[in-house]
Amino acid sequence: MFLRVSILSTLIYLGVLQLFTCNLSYSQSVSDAGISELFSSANKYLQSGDYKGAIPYLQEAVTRTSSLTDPQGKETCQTCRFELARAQFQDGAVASAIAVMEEYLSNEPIKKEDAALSLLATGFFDLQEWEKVELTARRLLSLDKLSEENEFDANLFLGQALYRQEKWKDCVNPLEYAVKYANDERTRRICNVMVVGALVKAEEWNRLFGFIPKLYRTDAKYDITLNLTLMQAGKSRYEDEDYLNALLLYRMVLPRNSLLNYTEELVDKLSDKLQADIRIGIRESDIKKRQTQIDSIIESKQVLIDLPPYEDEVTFRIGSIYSEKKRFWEGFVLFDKLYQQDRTSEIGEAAMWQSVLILYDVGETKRAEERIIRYLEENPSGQYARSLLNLMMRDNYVRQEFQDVVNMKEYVNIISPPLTEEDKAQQADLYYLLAFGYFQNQDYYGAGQQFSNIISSYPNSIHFNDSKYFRGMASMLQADYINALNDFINYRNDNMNGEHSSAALFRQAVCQFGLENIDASKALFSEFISLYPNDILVSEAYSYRGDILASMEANENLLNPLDDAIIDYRKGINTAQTSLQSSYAAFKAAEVYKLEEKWQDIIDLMNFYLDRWEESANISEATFWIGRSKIKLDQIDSALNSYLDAINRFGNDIDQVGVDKIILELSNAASNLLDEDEYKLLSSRIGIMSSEIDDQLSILKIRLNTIQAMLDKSEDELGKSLLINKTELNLMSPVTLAILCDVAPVYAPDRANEISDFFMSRFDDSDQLWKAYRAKASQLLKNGSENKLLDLIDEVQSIFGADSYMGWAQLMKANANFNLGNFEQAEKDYELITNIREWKGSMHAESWLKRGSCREKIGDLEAAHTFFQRTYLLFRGYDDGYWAAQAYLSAADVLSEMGKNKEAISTLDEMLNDPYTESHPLTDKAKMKMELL
Amino acid sequence: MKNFLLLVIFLPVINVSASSISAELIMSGGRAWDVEIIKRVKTDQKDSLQLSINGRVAGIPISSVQKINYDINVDIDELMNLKEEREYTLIIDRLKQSLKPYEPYMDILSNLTPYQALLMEMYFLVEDYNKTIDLAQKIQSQSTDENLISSSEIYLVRSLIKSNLADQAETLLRNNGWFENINENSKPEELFILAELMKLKSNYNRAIELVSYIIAFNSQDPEWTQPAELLCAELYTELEMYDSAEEVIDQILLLYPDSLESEKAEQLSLKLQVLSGKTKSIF
Repeated sequence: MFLRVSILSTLIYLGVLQLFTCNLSYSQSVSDAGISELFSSANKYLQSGDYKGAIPYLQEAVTRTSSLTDPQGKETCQTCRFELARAQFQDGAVASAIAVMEEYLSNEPIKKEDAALSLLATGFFDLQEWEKVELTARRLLSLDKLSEENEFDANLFLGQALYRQEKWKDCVNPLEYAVKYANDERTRRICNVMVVGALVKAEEWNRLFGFIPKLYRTDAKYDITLNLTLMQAGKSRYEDEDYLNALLLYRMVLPRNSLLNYTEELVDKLSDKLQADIRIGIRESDIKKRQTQIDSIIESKQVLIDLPPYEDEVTFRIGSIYSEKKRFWEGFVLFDKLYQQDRTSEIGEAAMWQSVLILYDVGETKRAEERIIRYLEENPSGQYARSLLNLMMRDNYVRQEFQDVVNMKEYVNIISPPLTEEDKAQQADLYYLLAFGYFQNQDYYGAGQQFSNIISSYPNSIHFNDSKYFRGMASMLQADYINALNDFINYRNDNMNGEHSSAALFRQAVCQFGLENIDASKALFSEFISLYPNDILVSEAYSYRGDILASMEANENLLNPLDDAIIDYRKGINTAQTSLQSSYAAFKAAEVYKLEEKWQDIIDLMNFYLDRWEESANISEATFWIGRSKIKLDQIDSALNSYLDAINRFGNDIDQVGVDKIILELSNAASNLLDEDEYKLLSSRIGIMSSEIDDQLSILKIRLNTIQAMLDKSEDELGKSLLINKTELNLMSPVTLAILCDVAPVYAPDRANEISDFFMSRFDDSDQLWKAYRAKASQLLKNGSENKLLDLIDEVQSIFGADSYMGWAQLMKANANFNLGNFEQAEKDYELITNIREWKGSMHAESWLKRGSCREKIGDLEAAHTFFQRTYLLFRGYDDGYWAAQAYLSAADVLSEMGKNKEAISTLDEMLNDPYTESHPLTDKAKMKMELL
Repeated sequence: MKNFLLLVIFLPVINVSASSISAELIMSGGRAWDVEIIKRVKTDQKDSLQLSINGRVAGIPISSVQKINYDINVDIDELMNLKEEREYTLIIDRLKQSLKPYEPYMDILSNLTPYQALLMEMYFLVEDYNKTIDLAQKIQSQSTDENLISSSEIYLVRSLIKSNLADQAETLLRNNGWFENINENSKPEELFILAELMKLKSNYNRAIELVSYIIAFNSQDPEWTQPAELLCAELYTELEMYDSAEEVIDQILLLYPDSLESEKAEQLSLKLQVLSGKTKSIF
């Protein structure tokens, strides 16, 4: 038996040796064939590529040899199995082939284990049995001395099998190996896509972001499937709110056009090359393989073409993520691109909105505003119009560019009317911002109108109630106390616990004060003090009530109002939360003490105030009061020393207005209280101080020069010197500017307006501001701008009233009305002057004369004559007889007009013999008139 | 051909010394000659190459040579690996050594220009801007390769900017028309260089806008996106937008580990910590 088997084996072995070398040309039944015939037939079919034909012979050969046990017989059988499996694979009988190959691999010897495993893996791959592919590939990889080709195949199988089993992390290494060693573009391309996909799925971001830049240094970046994978991954990350990774994935996606252009070029290139190679002559299988590759590229291109537009949305998302990540500029350029591309599309508008937000974030305010204005002009009904307006107005408001807020009114009015509740709320916001723009610009009328808009049209707005309060404020600041009071009462009634409830009560008291309902005002202040003892306004309430008490007459219920006022002022100092509140109370108290001539009390109060507020106190003003009190207590030296010390300490600070008060007080005290030697000594001390201070302390130096000029009565010289040297106005405090306003209309009329405007804008609460008004008024009169002059006079009189130094304003007003032909009004204006005692003298003389002129113009000649007569009888001594002389001439004219020539001549004669007028130049005129009469 | 023969003066056959250089001469007429260059003879009267052709020594005027292709022995793959490892000084040494025999002939158009271009790039990376400028100007005057000329222009301008020579850089850029129609579609290198110039002129907002064009619209181009992101972080720092700068730095460290940019980003991060008060300055 053994021998028979051995002989058979030898025969078969020889036959197998012939298997691939003989070329038999006969065919017979497989079962009838001898073993060598089987081999030769199989060989024939295999060599001719007819794998199907070879299979029966090989199967028969396996059957006949499988029972052999000797080494040669086993090897023969194994060889037949291997060839059979290979033929079956080639024939497409994958399942059968796998079975045979598994049998081959489970028997010995396995001389072609690597090739068998490779084929087996291919089989499992075709059947998509991924676990088996993995196992087979791993077994292949475990073999020693693996050829490069097999190692590549094994990695490729393993990578793909793991990928298919969603073993994302494990598949990356073998796939990367395949990418590295693949010798065809298609394999590389597919593996790249799988690596990227696997890294995304595994969320191996660091590895992915390390892999991609390398990939993007090659043309692999143009792979459409790769780009779609990245985009899909980016979308998924974005939807999971993993913005950073979404951003980095999206960033890698190339624009559709770039992908399509590249792919078209690639298809053309590959097609041309294929056609060229076909012409030369290549195998059909190669043609098929390469054509398949081209077709797959074309197919991927079509997927991209069919994809709905995504670029804008992706761009917008990337922009949003950049912005979210505070990479504002990167976000901006993306939004800007979308906006510039199509300003009217929904995404374009949204991008514009985002771009504007970023421009504000990066401080490019001007660009943001230009963009907003352009949008509003192009698309006033756009969905972002209201929001953009809000943004721009709010920004300007925060930057205190109030005029710019107000300037947006035209756009607030052109945007479409709000329909939804949300739009209405936004519209009310706009009016509210506009109102505060006006308010801060001190245009209280404009502010009130905007608050009224909200009150009348937006009852659901969150600003509705506050608008009532602030409209009240706007009215109050226009001295419209009745409307203001109503608003404050309404606000408080509707919002007893509202944010402004306490303030509304306080303002009610202020309005009553303005309406001169003093008792009601006092009661309201008392109510406020009792209800809100810790309110920020309580100090001011005490001060107000102190003011009221100080103005009241004593009676049986109010025995000593001044003492009560002092108590309130002291409480005002104690409860003050700002130095300004405290200063007001302290200095008003000082005024009251002054009325009672309680000089020591002033000194004590000022020291109390200085101790309470220390460095934040108005030290110079307090010093002024201490000095004034000391002067009254005859402590002149001490007072002067305090003054000079305060001037030295605070004089270089332009905002220390108390220094200016000290200067004025010092000047008055020196001329009234010092003898000549003391006066000279003081002047000399000031001169030395001025020479010793550093030149850089320019403001102090100018202030000291001003004191000296006032002491030496050389204000004109100082003023001229400052004008000639063109000294900067911002170095001058009110005392110096006042001097400049006196001299400028005479010596530098071209600068009068500039100086007075500067004074008015820089020190609008100065006691000496009227000098700026006077300088400005004189220029208006000189230019014949009577109407403007009248407005200006109204303004200055509303500030300074009819104090002794204000007669000029009333006289200018009267003269302006006279020049305008408003004779009745002019006469009333002149009459007012004649009724004010403080303005007597030449001003009265002029007014009586001008009253006569008014009457003459009106035609009331009798009265006119009486006024002229009154002038030359009562005011002969003023201005070298000028007013009397004028009055004589005017009286003569009126008499002549009345047909009373004789009386006229008599009047002129009287003028020529009047000792006050007889030598006045106007007598020439009188003589001529007499001749004519 | 006849003209060429007239120019060649054959001398007796001699042994070619070991210091001779193997090369292919491309003559004005287009003909190529394999030669051994022995030396260059340059006097007031003539400028010629002494060379050996088939063992015979000859002299050829330089003016008749269009280009020389040297048989240079430089392992470019190795240099690229060294570049990857940022061994710039080593590359400079190797290139200088390799190019040394060719120094007398450097002004003649040759196949050495790509190596000079690499040397120029290395000088830039080690911040030796004078040498970068010098080489860039040489390449521009000698080369006909548009890519190399363009690259040398870039390094020239960037070196001028790095040397604080803003006016010279700006003039050069204006002459090249780089200021015209600059927008998001401009080439990344143009955007980058203009951004660097704007930074030098302290116009930080404009600079960062330009650099943002690169990041936002050329993010698939690692060559320019990497330096652009670093410049962007620097600009955010200049603008005192420290949070933004930190974001960019984090991203550089994540995306470009072991790169020159990540090294510089780490240095910038330390500076940021001091600037933003997260770490107290030791000074």
